[in-house]
Amino acid sequence: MRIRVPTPPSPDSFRSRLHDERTAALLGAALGIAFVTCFATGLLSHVAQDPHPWFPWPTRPAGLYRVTQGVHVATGIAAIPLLLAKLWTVYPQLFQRPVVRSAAHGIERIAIVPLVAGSLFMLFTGLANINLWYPWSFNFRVSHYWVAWITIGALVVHLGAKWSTTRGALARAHTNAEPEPADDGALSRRGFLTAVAGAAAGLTFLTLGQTVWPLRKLALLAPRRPDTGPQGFPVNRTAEAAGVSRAATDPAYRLTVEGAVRAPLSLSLADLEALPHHEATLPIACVEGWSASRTWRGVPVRRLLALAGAHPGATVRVESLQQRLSYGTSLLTSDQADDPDTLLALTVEGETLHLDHGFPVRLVAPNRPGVEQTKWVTRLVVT
Amino acid sequence: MSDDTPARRAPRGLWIGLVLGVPVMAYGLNGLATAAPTSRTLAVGRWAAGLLVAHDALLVPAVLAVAYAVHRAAPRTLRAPLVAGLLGTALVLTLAAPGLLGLGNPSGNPTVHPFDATVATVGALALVWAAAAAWATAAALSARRARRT
Repeated sequence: MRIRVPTPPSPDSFRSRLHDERTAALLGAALGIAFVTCFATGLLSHVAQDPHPWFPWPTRPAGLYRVTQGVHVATGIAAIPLLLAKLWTVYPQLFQRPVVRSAAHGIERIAIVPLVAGSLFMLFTGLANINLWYPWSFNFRVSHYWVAWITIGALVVHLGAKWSTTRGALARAHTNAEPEPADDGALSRRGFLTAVAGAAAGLTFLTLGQTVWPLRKLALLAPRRPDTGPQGFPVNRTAEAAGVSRAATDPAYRLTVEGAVRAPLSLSLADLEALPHHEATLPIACVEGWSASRTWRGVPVRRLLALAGAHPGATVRVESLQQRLSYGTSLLTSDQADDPDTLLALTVEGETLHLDHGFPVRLVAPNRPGVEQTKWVTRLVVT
Repeated sequence: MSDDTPARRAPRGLWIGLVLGVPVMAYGLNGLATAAPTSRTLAVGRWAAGLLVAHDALLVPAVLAVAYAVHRAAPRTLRAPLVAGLLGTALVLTLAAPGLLGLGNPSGNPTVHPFDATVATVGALALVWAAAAAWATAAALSARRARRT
């Protein structure tokens, strides 16, 4: 009996017309735009959470972060079908023989490993994060940020390696030199690209409602709805999960203003309610991509700083009652602290804040990530 | 890539890409290594490698098998819309999986997946298959017109 040893596949084993250079080039161009958009908006989100002296995050426009982070998440979701289609198109190249033809070819192939692994990692972890799903042991934000740099660096290497090939393939697409093969019922190139574009647009359409209010009823695949939650909008961490329910509702609650001030303050909730209030309509824009705009009323931070005798240009550390989990404090730059719309809010839409939205007092400021809009505020430390 | 002229010209672009891209990669690697304990950095590497292997060794072969089965079993005019519908279904299920399977949200935050995930997923799949059916109908009509002429 003769045993037939199966031969490994080669690029020629894949006879579909969808594995050609033009398809790969078109998908690569779309994916490149998506990745650069994600990378740029991701950097902005990073800077918004950790402002740098050389890149101060502005307080205006008030909804800027809402837009950049909405674009970040929407583009990441749209990139899922683009990436899978691109990898499908170039999959036969995995079986190239010889495996390495030259030193340059070897380097080019090696550089694809961090690019593909990094791309899959970024989209998978991003998708898991918007669902608050963390099946790993590492910190999401740290790894997502640094792997983005590795992936974008690998993309630059790949772009360099494929630049002339891609330009040639795209130029041929303009001249339309290659006719479509005879119809055998399989997906044509045009049909494939239309389906991929449709998938990217469809996924965007079915998730964008988590931040675009008119589309909220169509957000079938979004983990959040901007009109659902206590007082009509979502929360990221409940009071129970933060372990602050008892402290936040304690009648002995005080807000203190201390640090570099002439007259430290210790205010009860009644004291805060008696101070002059200011109203502002500002979005809560979460890093997970959902956002909701609401009208808040409360005491401007700059009024409290003036009462305490803080110096002009002061920065403020805002501390929450919850300290056992992340994001228990946030920092206000001098511009943010001085903005008239930066409030310690007591009400939203005319109602006392729900406990899950930060009762008795939460920070709300223009153009800040949701995780920096500290809830259950108990102390302002002026520096 | 084939061994055509652009491929032979690639080294110059590759070197430019390496000069520009490798420092960026090194910056990211260094940041990852210094921002977290070694065990967590290694976990990032394991996850990235695992996703790569899962894609290349499991996902793509599965898609190939499904596409091959459709090509063998389905009528000619239905093949493309059927494949597109199946791939659309896979994408919808990928996005809907956390809600359907109750993944994540360990603290039971009621504003995460605040709707019936099954109903929402069925709604999204209905849109996918409506588009696939429209495609199939258009293809069938087009084929009929072609036969008549």
